[in-house]
Amino acid sequence: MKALDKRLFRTILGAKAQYGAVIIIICIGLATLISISNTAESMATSLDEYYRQYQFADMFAEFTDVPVSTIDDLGQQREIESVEARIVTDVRADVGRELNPTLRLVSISSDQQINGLYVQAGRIPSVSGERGIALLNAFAQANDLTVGDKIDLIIRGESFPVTVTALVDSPEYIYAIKDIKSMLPDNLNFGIGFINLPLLQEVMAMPGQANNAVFSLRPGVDEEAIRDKIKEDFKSRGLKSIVTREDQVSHALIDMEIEQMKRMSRAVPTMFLGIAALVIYMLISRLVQADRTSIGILKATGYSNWEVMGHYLKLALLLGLVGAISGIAAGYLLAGFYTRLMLDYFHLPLLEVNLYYGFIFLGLLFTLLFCGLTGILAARGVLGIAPAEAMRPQALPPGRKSLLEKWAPQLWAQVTFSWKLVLRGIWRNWRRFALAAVGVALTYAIMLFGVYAFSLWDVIIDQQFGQIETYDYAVSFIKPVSFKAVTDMRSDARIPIIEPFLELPFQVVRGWREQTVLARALPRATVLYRFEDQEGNIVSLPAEGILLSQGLAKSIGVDRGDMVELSSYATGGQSHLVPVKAVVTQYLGSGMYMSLNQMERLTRQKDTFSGVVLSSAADIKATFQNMANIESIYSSADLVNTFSEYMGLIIASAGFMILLGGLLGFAILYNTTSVSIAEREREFSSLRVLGFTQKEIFQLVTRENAIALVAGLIMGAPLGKTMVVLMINAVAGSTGEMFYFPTAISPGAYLITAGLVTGFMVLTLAAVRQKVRRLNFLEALSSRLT
Amino acid sequence: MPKEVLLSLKSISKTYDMGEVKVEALRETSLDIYKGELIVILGPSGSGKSTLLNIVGGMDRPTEGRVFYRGRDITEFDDKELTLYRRREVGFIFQLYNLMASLTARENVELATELVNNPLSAEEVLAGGGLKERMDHFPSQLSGGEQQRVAIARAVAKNPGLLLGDEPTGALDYETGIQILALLREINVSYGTTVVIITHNVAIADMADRVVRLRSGQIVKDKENPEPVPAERIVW
Repeated sequence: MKALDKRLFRTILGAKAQYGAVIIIICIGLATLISISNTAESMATSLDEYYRQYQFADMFAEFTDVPVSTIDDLGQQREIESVEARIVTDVRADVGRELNPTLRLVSISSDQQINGLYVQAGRIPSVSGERGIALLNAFAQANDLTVGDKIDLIIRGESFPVTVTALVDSPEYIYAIKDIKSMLPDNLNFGIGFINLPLLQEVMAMPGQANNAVFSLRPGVDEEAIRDKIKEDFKSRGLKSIVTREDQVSHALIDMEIEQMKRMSRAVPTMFLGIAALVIYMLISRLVQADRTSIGILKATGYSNWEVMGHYLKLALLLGLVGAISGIAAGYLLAGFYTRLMLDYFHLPLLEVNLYYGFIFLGLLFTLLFCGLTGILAARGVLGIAPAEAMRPQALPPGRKSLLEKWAPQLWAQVTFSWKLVLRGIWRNWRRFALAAVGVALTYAIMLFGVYAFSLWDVIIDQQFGQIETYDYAVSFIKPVSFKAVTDMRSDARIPIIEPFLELPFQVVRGWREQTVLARALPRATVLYRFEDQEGNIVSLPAEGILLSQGLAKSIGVDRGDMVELSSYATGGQSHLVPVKAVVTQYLGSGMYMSLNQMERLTRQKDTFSGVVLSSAADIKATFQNMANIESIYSSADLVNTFSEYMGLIIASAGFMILLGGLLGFAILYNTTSVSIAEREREFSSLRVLGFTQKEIFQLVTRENAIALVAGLIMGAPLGKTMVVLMINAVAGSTGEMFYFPTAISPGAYLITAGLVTGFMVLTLAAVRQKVRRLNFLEALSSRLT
Repeated sequence: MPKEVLLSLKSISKTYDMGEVKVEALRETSLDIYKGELIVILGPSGSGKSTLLNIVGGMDRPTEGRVFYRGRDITEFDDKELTLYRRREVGFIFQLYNLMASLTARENVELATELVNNPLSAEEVLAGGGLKERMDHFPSQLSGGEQQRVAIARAVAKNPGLLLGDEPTGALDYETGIQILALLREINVSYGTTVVIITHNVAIADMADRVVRLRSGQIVKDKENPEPVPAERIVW
């Protein structure tokens, strides 16, 4: 090894903590990049393969109960390769627990090609008279069911026993949720069961009928054109809705998750590399200053500018390389862990964790580019050092009066001597001070994000279930009921508050944008729903017109006062122009709301309700679960519980973020403070000779840091707010219709963050304290080594 | 035997622009340095001797005048050529040794030998300086005299044509200083290296082949010393 390179290593070893901190920052950045990118890529690739092998459908249609022949007619379209008529219906199942989960029954056929089942155990039920069911693996596991077990399907109040013949996965239910409103899978209370079509027709009393179709298209077909054509042709033949794969719930959510991961895998590493670059810049530019004489000797000996700069550049690249390699290794280890975490939510049987070497290349390239450019920038000071001058002691920096002295001499006169030293020091080395303050500000911003994320879900759930939807239960019926049935229900179960609703899918059209939305019609005087516009004003349900949640309004591109066209199978395909009366805040999911009168005007359906929401302290679930016409019962408490489980994950990652923020802050503050002490070794030594105690010297450092802390906190608050908004936009950009993340930050969060940052500052000072203690003032003053 | 000119300064002036004042460090100075001689340049502080040495060593450029090294005008050199000149032809020794604290004695010398194609062996040069047992020590473990011998070894190991010493004994006690001067003479004799020493210590002039006196940026005396004395016999 060359002598200069040996010097490099010894330089690093001599300041392990400082350089180690940089390496850790880079390592975290790269680990994030690799683990998330690799997981996203693994998921995307396995997903494609799964879809291909198991022939995931291209299009999905819902019908009212129609003859199978109606659906078979669809197959006559030239663009359609094959079509399968199905029955899809939600029933309750007695699985031997107190509460009966909802089971979505999906029919299968013996010659099924589309949406093939991936058999994890057992065999797909045969057609020949066997009353068998294949259960979604995750549901079976959550309910402790296995092949050979018997369960009862509860249909119209009657029990139909079936035997579990297989545990399966399906490309249609990788992310198995009831509908987009439930958002998180609840494997205990919701599952999928696959039954042969004839058997399902029999138990559902739908002989020769179906209510659902899946089809595959010929390659190269314009999906949207064919969808619109079918919509037009079949709207009077019972078609309720038709979506392409893009809008299929399971697919849309996985796609969103992958997209979100990809966004995150760009944003987080960029931030970390940026901060690493900042610290590297500071360390190297200060090193170049401290090495002034050495650089002079090297140049006098005949080393060229480039060779000397290369020496420092190597340091930057070496830090980058070590950080990157350890980050890449950690990233691949984490990728496996992260992928397994994803499998809790996504049932992707073909998922393989592949190593995509492209990310290694990408990560290395970016790190070396960041570090290299920073190194060059920081080491350019080498160019300005003339060998002849570098041998002489450096001229003292010009003493300058600080602004305070110039503008308020009386006030300055009041300042004690040691404070004067601190203030002058800041004034003279404003760059170093600015860096320390920026370090505090960055720490503050990152930690603020963590503190904000920590409380985010609490706020969302509190708002959604405490302010917007205040009901305890939402019950939906299999067949619509009349108002009388609702009042009967109320008196039978002694429910204090009950409100009926009618929910129907609508096509919402605005200009070229079009979307299928589930609209919920409520009584105008609803007390179980409360709407707020985005300024926080309470909005009552309008007699005419609709309310849209902000995510939906954004995706359709409308605002308050705009007109939209609504059509539905329930309007006989006819379009109605309706005003958007307000855009309302909804944190979870998205929705369209209108009054029952408005719905009646649109659909001519009177005294028809598809469900009720109610408020009751009693356990309604147990009372209602076996009633014939009940499709599902949602309990807000269950939903909150499901979210709480998910929140554990969120809180863990927010905690991680706070820890990272602290680590980063520590790295930055420790480095700026160490540099500050090293640069002032002579000054401090002179003060020691004058009679200053170690404590007094340390006080100078403490005071300078305290001022940097205050300045940093002041800068950090707006910076943190900006970062929260940017991160939410970056991460949530693709989830607009699913979640609404309020970016308001409470004063408490600002205060807690300030407390945390101050805590880390105290830790930093404790860590550098021994540097001051070790300061050998005699040696510093007579130093002749470089 | 006619003396061969190694380096020639022709009417050199050097003016430092210090903002409001201009400082003339050298004023139209001319000097020839001959191959293989040991020359001592004497002068009080501020006489311009360091400036002269820096220009000779290719570390600084004159404001006016020309410098020829083996017939080539080094004032015409660009930065790259000047760097090559320092790398191949010049060895510097400083008053404060200026060793790299994080490198051992041997590594400090290797810092220089790695730069050139036909260096002397670092070990041999160090051994020649009496540092055989101290090669793997760090500078902080060496005495001032030992450090300066490492610095000399570092300058010599490149096998330069020109060895320049800027007050090489300035920070050393008398006995150590004498040892260093003896070492410089020994190098001058055994490798045929031209040695230029600048100092304000008049006594050192006794060992020189030629003595040049500088005052206020001009050469006031340039005289050969027909009978240089061995360094060991110098007294101050």
